[in-house]
Amino acid sequence: MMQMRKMKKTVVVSFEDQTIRVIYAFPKKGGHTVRDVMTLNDAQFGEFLRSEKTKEFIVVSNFSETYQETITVPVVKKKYLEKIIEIEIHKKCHFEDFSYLYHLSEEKIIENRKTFEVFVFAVRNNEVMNLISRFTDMGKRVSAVYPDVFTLARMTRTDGKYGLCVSGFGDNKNLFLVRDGKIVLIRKANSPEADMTDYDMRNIEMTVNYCRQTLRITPACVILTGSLSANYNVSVNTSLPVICLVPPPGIHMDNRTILEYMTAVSALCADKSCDIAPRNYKDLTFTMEILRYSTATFLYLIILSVIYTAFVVKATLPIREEFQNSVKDLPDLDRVFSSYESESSRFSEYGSLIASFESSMETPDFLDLLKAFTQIKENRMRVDSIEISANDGVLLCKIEGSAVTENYAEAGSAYEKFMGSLADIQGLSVTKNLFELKDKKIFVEAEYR
Amino acid sequence: MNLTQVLKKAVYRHLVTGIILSVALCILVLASKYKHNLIKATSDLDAIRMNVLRMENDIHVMREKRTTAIHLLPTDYNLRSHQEILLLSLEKVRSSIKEADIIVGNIVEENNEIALPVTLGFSGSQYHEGLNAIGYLRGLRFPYFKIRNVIAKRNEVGREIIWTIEGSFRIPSGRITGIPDRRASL
Repeated sequence: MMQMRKMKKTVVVSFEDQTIRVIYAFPKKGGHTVRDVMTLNDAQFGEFLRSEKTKEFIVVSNFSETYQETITVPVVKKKYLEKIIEIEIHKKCHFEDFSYLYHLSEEKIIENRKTFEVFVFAVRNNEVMNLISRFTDMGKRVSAVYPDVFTLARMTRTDGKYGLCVSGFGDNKNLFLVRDGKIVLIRKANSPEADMTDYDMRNIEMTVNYCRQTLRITPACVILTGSLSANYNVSVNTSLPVICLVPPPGIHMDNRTILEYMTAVSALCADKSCDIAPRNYKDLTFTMEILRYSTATFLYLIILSVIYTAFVVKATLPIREEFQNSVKDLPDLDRVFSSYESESSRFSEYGSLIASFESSMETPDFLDLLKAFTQIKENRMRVDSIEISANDGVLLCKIEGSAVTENYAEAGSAYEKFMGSLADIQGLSVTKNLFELKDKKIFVEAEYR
Repeated sequence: MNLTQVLKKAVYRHLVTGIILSVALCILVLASKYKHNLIKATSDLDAIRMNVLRMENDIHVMREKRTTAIHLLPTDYNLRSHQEILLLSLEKVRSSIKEADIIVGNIVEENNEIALPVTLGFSGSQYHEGLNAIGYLRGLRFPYFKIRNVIAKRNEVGREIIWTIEGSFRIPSGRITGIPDRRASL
């Protein structure tokens, strides 16, 4: 049940002479299910619209004054065809402001030229707008306006053959020749009664003859639509078989009412190509649709913004508190700055002195190195000279000496011990060493950092 | 209600929601910026606090260095020129390292310092004598003695060590003013 409620309901209003029929259809897999129907008269319709909660309607109407004609246009590319048809209709139609529909027939050769025969159907915009304004005045929207003959034609299935459809409201009967849902001809015929009578049948025969003689088309059958099928009071023999129009398999509806509401039901099978609403109105509804979606998007974004803002604000509060605490805990900056500035200005006076003093400390200490040499334990090695010079923060050291030993073996041992002692001095690295065994003399170069 | 009115109403509704959305987005942007700036300000405050601590430490260091610098200066600094101070130091060295040959160069100014190049030559029977002399020179603070080269050579004949110390007395070229009266601190 809940699922059904969520499904978008389609409400079709069919204006049929003095009667207005309304059906409520719900989409079902592969079609529609008509759940509710009602019949109103003109006086009740205003109240119906006022009380009806549905905002959008599909309208089907039997227009009182129409223009229909079959015109021929040359075979051109599709993009030019529409323009040519429009120009032709405007040339031929005597209405000042009108909307039109057309059905293109198959390609024919007339006077050795390839042409299309186009059936055009036009109604005055005034009439359509009067119909639409009955809804819009009550705050409702009309999603499409279909001429009844087009929706009924769309519902017929003739399997490539021509069929003459008959629809009727009150004393008027519409006879329209259809093939594969496309109309070829429409004739209006007066009738003494609402039912199908012999009079109507003679009109049908005349129309069939017209089709045969003028259009060179022989209809395969006569198709009765709506209540005409139920009220068939004909005694004369007909040249064509008479059949009843039934809705396609996708439409589910109570069989007792299906004929009565056939025109309204046929709107469920129609598409936008049958919509005869004026272009201005279509543009307007399109604009309003965009505005509606845009407004809905804005509302959605507003909600998102508000929620996100709430999150941001919530996250900001503890940071703000932390900031305020930080401000409170901050020491007296003015005091520190003034103290720093005064101390800096006083310090700058001594800057050169301190820099000079500190530069004297930068070089490794000569004294430390010379003291380190006193740690050398090897007595058999006599140091003859030490030369130390400062160079870019490094002390370069040259040591010359000789081994005081009786033989070479001892000299070698003394040399090794001496070098070991030098290696023990922290910061001293020997870069060159030479031991002349013959003279028992040594020469060492080292760096001290 | 005609279609124009319906359209007007739709446009009005759209405008109103557009304005509300703009306001909502502005508030969101402001709130986000406020939060971002608050985070930045908090971290800046931490940096300030750290800098203040550093500044306080710097003040302390500067004060100590200044006090040290003041104590480096001779008490009669204000009464003497830098050249005089350099020559007085040379005199002191001469009296401290007796029997030393002293070669003095010209006073020069380099790297914001006034330098008096000096070469000291002396001999001693003990290694420690040379160390004492170098220690004495290293202990000089104003002017300080910058050693460039030290040579210690053993004299084969006299069993003595001949020391040669090359360096310079150095003093900052700029004159220091505003020295507080140190008698008060003494």
